[in-house]
Amino acid sequence: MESTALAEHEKVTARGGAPFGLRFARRPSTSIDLDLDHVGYDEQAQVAIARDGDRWVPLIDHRMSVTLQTSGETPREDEIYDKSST
Amino acid sequence: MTVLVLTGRLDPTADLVVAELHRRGVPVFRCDPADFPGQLTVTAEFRGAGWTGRLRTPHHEVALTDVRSAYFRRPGEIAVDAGPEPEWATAEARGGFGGLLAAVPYWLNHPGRMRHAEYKPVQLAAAAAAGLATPRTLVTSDPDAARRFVAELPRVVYKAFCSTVRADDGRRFIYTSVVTADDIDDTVRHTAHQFQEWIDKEYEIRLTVVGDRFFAARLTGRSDAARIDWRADYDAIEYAVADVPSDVRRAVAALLDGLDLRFAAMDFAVRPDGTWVFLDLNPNGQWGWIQHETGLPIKEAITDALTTPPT
Repeated sequence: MESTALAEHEKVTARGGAPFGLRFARRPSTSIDLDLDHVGYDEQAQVAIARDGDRWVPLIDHRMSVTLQTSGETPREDEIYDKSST
Repeated sequence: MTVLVLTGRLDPTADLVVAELHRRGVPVFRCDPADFPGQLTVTAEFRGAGWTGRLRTPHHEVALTDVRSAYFRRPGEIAVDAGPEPEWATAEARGGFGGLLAAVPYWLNHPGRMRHAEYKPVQLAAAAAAGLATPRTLVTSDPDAARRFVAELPRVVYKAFCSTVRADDGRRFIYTSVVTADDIDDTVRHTAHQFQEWIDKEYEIRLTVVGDRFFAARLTGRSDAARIDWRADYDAIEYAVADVPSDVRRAVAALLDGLDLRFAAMDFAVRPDGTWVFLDLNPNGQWGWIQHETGLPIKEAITDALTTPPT
């Protein structure tokens, strides 16, 4: 995939001496934070679950999954995985 | 037969496959190797004819002889960070536990093959050798070489090998970016940098390949940002199922055979004359959102591959 030059205000000012490529690093403009208090893991079913009102449902059936996977509001599963590992 | 799924707990892409395996009544053992040895134990014995033994979590266990295939998604690293001598313990864990995992007969994809295929210079050379059109590319730590390369071509982009970086206040994404010769400075010296010929294109293709099954999605940007980099504006992407030209299909098959990959998510730019130009290959790329947007049956194909490994 190709990309675009960043708007000047989006560029992260490279700290003194930082490698050239880091000047193009930026926060995804529409990213959201995943509330890890509202996701969990069903040990028996071996899938992630998410809170839906007062019950838990498989994450892949939850509206949050649709948001996370299709809306572009997060770098998709990578970001979820990364958040879970930090 | 049990399918081994190696990944973290929050991985919706793996969930799609696990759910499909459940729907088909196929036993699944999902674990994260990063949980070894605390929440994941192994005992295995070799008596001259393959390893026998069991993997156990607090909730599940599986006989090694029942595991015919493994799906390597996004597991954590095997690392023993508690107890005495963690460095040595980690090396032993990787050699012993990791070695037993590596002995599984069928992988999608084998982690060793993926590590090799993830190298962009390897991909580009292999893609060209397989017959795919490829962009001119420079990898350098020499600012002068970078300036010369940029000056030789009408338009050039900088592409990071690793697109994410941690910052003090969170994660940053390094989008591929157009650069000019004036942008180049001595900070290029600090590491390897990749500069690549800009490809004029009508649209892009995300091609997901599972075994010999090809799933091509056309991604057309409907905003300035998405037209240049669809990752920058997912909401502005128009999706459609696409056909794969026969010559591209043959070349991709040769490429993946040469890299020993059974799965790949590949990006192509399609020039106005219809030429598919190979840009990138991810041996563990995302596909869940492509299936959601297009209906292409990718999870079914992955499940098919995992449940019918060659004997």
